[in-house]
Amino acid sequence: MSDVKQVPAPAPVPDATSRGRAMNKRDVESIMEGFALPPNSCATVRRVVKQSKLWRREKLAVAMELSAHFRDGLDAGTSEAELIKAFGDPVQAAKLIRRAKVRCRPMLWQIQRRTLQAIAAFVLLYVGLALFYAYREPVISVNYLRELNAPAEKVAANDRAWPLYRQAVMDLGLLDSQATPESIHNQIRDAYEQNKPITPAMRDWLRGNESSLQRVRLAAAKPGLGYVHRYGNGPEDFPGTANGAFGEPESIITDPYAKNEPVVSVLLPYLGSMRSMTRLLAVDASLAAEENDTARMNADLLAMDGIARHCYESPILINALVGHSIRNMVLKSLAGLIVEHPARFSDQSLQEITHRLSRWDFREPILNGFAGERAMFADMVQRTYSDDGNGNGRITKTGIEMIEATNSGVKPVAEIVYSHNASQLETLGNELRFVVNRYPAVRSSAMTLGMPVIREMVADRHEIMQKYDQVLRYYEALLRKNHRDIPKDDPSNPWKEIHDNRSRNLLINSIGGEFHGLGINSEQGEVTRDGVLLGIALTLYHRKEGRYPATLAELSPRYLPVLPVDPMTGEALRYRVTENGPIVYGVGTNHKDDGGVATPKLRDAWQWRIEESMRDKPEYQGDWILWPMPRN
Amino acid sequence: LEIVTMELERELMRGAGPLAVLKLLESREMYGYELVEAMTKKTEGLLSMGQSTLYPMLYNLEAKGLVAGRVDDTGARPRKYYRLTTKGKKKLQTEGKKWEAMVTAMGHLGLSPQSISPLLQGGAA
Repeated sequence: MSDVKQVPAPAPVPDATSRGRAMNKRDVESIMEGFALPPNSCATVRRVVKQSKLWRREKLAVAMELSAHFRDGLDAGTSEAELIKAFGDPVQAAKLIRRAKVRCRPMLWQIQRRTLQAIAAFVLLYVGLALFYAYREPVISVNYLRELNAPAEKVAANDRAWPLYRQAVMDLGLLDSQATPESIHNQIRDAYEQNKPITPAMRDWLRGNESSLQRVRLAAAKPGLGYVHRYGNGPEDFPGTANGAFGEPESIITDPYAKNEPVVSVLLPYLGSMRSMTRLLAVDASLAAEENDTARMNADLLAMDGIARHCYESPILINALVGHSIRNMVLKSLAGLIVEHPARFSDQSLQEITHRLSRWDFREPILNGFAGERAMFADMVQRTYSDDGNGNGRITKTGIEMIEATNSGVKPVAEIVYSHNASQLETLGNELRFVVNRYPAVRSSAMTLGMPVIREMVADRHEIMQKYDQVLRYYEALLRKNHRDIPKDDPSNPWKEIHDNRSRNLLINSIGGEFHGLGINSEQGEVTRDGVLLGIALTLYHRKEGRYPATLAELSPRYLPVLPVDPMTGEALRYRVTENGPIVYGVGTNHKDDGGVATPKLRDAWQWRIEESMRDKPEYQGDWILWPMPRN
Repeated sequence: LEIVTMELERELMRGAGPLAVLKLLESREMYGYELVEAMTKKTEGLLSMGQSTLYPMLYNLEAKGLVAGRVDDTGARPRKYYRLTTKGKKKLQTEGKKWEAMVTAMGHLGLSPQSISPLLQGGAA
């Protein structure tokens, strides 16, 4: 008996009109039942349909077609076993059917599917990249601290001033951070800064500490400071003193290079002390002048100059500025002493002072400080950027975290990223800022995920180094000019682009300095120095001629080789002789000759580039008095 | 022969199979099992393809618009019939010519049906 004869009659199939709707409702089982398939054929069809993982509608269509296939085969007299064998592997069939059926799906679905696949691929790639970039670490290959320390390391042990200064600082109690406003140091500071008279208490204290002051003078005469900078407190700092800021003995680090930290974080604990010692010497010089002790007065003045020289030793910008401020203290003392105690200065000593002051260069220490800034910036770059082996690299997550840690003023990265352009993103930026700042884990994850974007937004290593070099070269060029020759809106100023692209120039915006004030600072030092030189020249002229010159031109070349000019205009300085003596002045910010009346706030009023319309403002009235030096 | 047919079966999915199906549908529309039978009969069993590959092949041809299917539910049981579309006819024409050219080229190389007949017989033995 053939297989065909054994096949039961097919189950009733719904009529044509109702079949379409009914088809969707029926499941695979009922379809197979409709074709009256034997169990093994059913199993084959069921397996193919199930494993095809198609939409229900597609499954039903496949079930119908395969059921028809088996039914037709059986009806044609083929055995079920032969049919199943000829059909082949159901799993392979399911796979091929799925692939083919999916191709038959609507175009919109295909687009949606491809889009989702593309998004998934992008997300996977992005996350992979994010993790890859987030775990790239900077390579620290250059010890820039050694470069900064090179001048100090070169000073022979016996030539180093720092050990003497340090002992004097501790003996004089200059580290006492608990000092009350009434303490002797504060009284001396106020006397110096506010030109108050020296009290008996101050006099007694200075006399009682003469040996320490002498140690300062000896130190100031040493060839070099010899302070080796380090990442922490060294034995040559102030361990165990009352000033906790300098650390306890157990925190002392002997090897200056033991801790591998950014050079910008090295300590400069001596700078404050240098200023304090200079102030003491300035007051002591005044006291010596009052006491007719010319030798001590000169020794104090010389020592003050020596301290400034020591500040300039290391190529660090802040050191240069402290050195400048100490030189200004020297000039202030000299100017006051020459006016108040002219008898303390012989012609020869005044000439020697002239020669000494003429050699002062206020610009070179700043240029030297720029070299240190370059090194510090390069150090930060190597600690924040990856290194591709060819000198280039990209910002790293570690680097961004370090920038934030180094400079608490740095905005969180998310803020930089999201608020970069964006008034329209401001709200989002604020919300992100809140979340990011509140939850460190969120912040870290956000940064990890953001790395592929951030690293593209932030300038690469070459670019950032070039830009910072451009910044420093710009300031170096400015420093060689007189301020009056620099236009107010200088188109070559690189900071505009840096500010406009805050994210791109992240590192410069975070740690790079804007050094507009350095040129003014240096030029003010020069003008102050020129004022003292003029004062000395006028004093010497008066001593020789018994009168003051009718014009400043008479001073040159005998008393002053080159006459200074008005710093504002570049023209000749104004000069008048009053019953109180001569006055030398420039026209000042308002470009007007106010008859030698000093501008009310001398330092604040040193504005070279005020709009013409602003020149009538009260704070800009008055002249810049070069001699005698204003006492405010 | 079995080895040769197995190899042919593998190749069917790639080139010859779809062309063979298009050729069979040239004269009239057919349903799945009918196509299997016609293929076996007309090729004397040489292109007796695994049926698990036939249906995916039909769905692929349908996706490409070379054949069109319709469900005929007027009979006792529903059946899906496939017919050649205009696009399918053009495809058959171009692919058929390529196939003829290849067969001719093979003939020039001495690989005519007559020449491979002993080989097939040997394979069967």
